[in-house]
Amino acid sequence: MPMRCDISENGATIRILPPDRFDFSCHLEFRDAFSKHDGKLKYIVDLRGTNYIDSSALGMLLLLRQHAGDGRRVSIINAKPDVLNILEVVNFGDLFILE
Amino acid sequence: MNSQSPALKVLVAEDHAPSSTIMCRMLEHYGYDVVVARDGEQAIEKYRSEKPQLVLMDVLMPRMNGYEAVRQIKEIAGDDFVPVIFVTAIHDEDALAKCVEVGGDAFLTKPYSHTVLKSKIDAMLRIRSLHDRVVVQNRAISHFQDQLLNEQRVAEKVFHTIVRSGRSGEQGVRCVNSAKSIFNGDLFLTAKRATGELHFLIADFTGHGLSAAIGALPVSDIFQSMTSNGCSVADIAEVMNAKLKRILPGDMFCAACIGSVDAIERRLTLWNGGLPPVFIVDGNNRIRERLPPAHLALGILDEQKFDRSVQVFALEPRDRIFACTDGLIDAPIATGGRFTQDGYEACFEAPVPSNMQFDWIIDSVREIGEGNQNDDLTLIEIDTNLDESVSVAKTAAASRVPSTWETSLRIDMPALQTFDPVPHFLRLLSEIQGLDSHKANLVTILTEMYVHALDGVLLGMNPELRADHAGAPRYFEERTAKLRALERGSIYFSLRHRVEGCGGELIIQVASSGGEKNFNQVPLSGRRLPLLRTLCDCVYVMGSGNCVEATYRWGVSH
Repeated sequence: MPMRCDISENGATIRILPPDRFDFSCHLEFRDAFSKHDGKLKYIVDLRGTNYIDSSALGMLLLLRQHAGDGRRVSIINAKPDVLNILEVVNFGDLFILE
Repeated sequence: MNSQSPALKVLVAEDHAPSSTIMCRMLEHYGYDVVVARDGEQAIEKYRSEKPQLVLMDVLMPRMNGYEAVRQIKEIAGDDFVPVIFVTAIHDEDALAKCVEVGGDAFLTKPYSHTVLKSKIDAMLRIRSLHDRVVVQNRAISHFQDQLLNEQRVAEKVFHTIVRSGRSGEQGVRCVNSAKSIFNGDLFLTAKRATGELHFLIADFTGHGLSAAIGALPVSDIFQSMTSNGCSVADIAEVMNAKLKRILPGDMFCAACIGSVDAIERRLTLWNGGLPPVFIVDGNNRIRERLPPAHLALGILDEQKFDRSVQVFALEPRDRIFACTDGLIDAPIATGGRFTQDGYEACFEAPVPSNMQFDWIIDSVREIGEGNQNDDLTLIEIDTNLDESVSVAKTAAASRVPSTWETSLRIDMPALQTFDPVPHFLRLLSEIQGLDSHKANLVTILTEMYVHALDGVLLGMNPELRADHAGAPRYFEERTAKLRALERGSIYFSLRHRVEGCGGELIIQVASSGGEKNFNQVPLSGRRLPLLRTLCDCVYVMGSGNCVEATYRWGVSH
């Protein structure tokens, strides 16, 4: 399943939906999904469809945070319990808004 | 045909002269360069000498028939693709099938139309150019692969040298490390501090293979050199983070746990950034403490935002420490799921003797696992009953001729809250005097004097609490809070060295002033004074206990 990327109607928020397995194979797609947009926008990573996440995915999230200049502009939402657990274990709550 | 490129060469093997002539005319008409053979043997000769790009072959010919000629031509061609079209009057299906069997790529039965022959040739040449392109690409890929493998081999060599030299070979330390590719992103290092504590580091870089192992170089370097310079776990974590943040690309980081086991004071000091919980396991194999990561992994946060605070835990006599990378938790199991944290913890419920616990966990992963891990996997066990005898050997000489020098340093607030002067003086002693063989003694003397000045005098900490291993965590909590709250105070160091005989005499004075406490009498207590007395030639406690002077003679026979 490919990565989906939506832009809100007012153009201020980018919503990225990573696939079932969010791993190294998504690297280019994920970078493309945010790098063509201004870093000043708000970013939402919607993990509703993601069941597996590996350390390179965590790396990609860090790249997005770098691009946005500030983790407070990046929200990670709808993470399933297993995925949320991984994000919490590595203390990503300190870097992103986990909802 | 493209008139720019050289004409394609076609070999025509045909014993019947009129047929051969007609075919040649036609081919020349279409712009091909034609080579003629009259029989199978001649066809092979011409193939060798002329290297045609395509062969048109009759089946029935004198001396050697077309089948045999094609078999040999295909053999000579090897990996090159030379299309062969049989042109024959035979209509027998078996004979036609044999054309393909011996290596022919197509056949055409006589009589044939020129248009059909021309299209067959075009089709074959198209396949040939496709084949050539694939060959070129394959060659490039295999060249690239060789290069990559070679680079991996070089990197592997470097990496393994680090790993091999990176373990101090302590008894009671066990490690299993299995890799997904040639070498992995997991690293386990140990080193002994001069004061006897065992420092260990378990690290997991993002990604696998080469990219992951690159970061291992600076990490290992920092770990070894800072440990040998007597630096603390918090210092090491801070320096590693700054270095990795600077050199790693934004999406790479290093989940790591840096720890120190003090077997005499029965204490574990830990900085865990992003690795699965570390366990303290008691003599009955029960998990007594779960120490989840308190921090983000190394290489993510800027220096200013980095949190260097460590956790301190008291150790019981039979305690062991277990730590792993997430490869263990994530190891796929045969039923489709993963090993999981629960699966890992369940291993400690099993009725196995404590010296088998480690193998039990590894066997559990392997048994239910699919054999090939998804990730790099590392599990370590450290028995906390390490041999930590502090050596007292003062007859060893220095690597530099003794000379006379002195230095002093005064540290005020707020530098006192973060700066550890002991490594600074050790470096100095090593560089000026080459006192490396006395490092163990000197680091202990300097540390004990400094801890007395800061903890005892300035912070008014009760040293009994620190010595009592159960009270140690409370001691360090209290110490952190008091240090943060400390408003004024300073510590003065003075080191004077002079030549004596063929060795030297070092007089260290550490004095503190200020502080919140009204220090009437601060005893140099606990095991501190006896320890200093063992290591030094004389120890004076002056003032109200706020100034201590120790004399250390080396290279002098007593």
